[in-house]
Amino acid sequence: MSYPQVENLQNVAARHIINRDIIDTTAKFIEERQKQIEDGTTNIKVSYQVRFNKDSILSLTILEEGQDKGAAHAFKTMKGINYNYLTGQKITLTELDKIGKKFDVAPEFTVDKINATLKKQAKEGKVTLLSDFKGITTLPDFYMSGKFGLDIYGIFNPYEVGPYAAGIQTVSLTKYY
Amino acid sequence: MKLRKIIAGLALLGLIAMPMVAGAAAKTVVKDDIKPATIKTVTDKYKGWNCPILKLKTYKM
Repeated sequence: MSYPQVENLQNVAARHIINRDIIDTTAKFIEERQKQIEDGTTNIKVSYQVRFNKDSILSLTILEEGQDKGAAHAFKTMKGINYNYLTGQKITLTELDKIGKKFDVAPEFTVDKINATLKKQAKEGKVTLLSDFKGITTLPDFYMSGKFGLDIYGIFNPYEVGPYAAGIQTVSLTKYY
Repeated sequence: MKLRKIIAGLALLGLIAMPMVAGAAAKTVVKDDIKPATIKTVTDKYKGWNCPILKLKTYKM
């Protein structure tokens, strides 16, 4: 497994908070399958990707991939974590306004709005939804990206909104508002 | 007379240009202050309970 740790932050407290949170998030993947790991009935690989790292924002995705013995197919789960690396504060979907970034359209993310976005994108063939999709009930994990601005991408793991075959689906939430 | 006008024009131009240059410089400084975070990759290999990240999790940083 590999996971990131930040090094050069002038705010030492922020560095500790971020590094601790990354460890906790990554360790959760292991803890959730601790029994299988102990039994030797699963293989797990954890990796990460830096999605955005400038203007005080650090956005990361942590990916867990593996295969349980006897399972029909492999498993894959992605988590998104976002920080203000000047303060160490974690950025959540409901607190995006605090980062002071200008979006194409000011986002106000609610479960209802995201469900509407998912259905709209499904119609356009950009997202595959479960045939009996009723809608998400909690705000999804997300990451931030974009060269000329900041886009928010919702992360939907297999079975959350779509079938296993659709894999991990990342959906732009900013472009559809 | 012409020379006076030219000098006055240049002075006026200087008055407008100076704050613009200063403003641009200030913006550059602010932008440079927020450097990207340096990220190192920690690689762990584990088997069963012998997982370094779990030990690290219980260790108070």
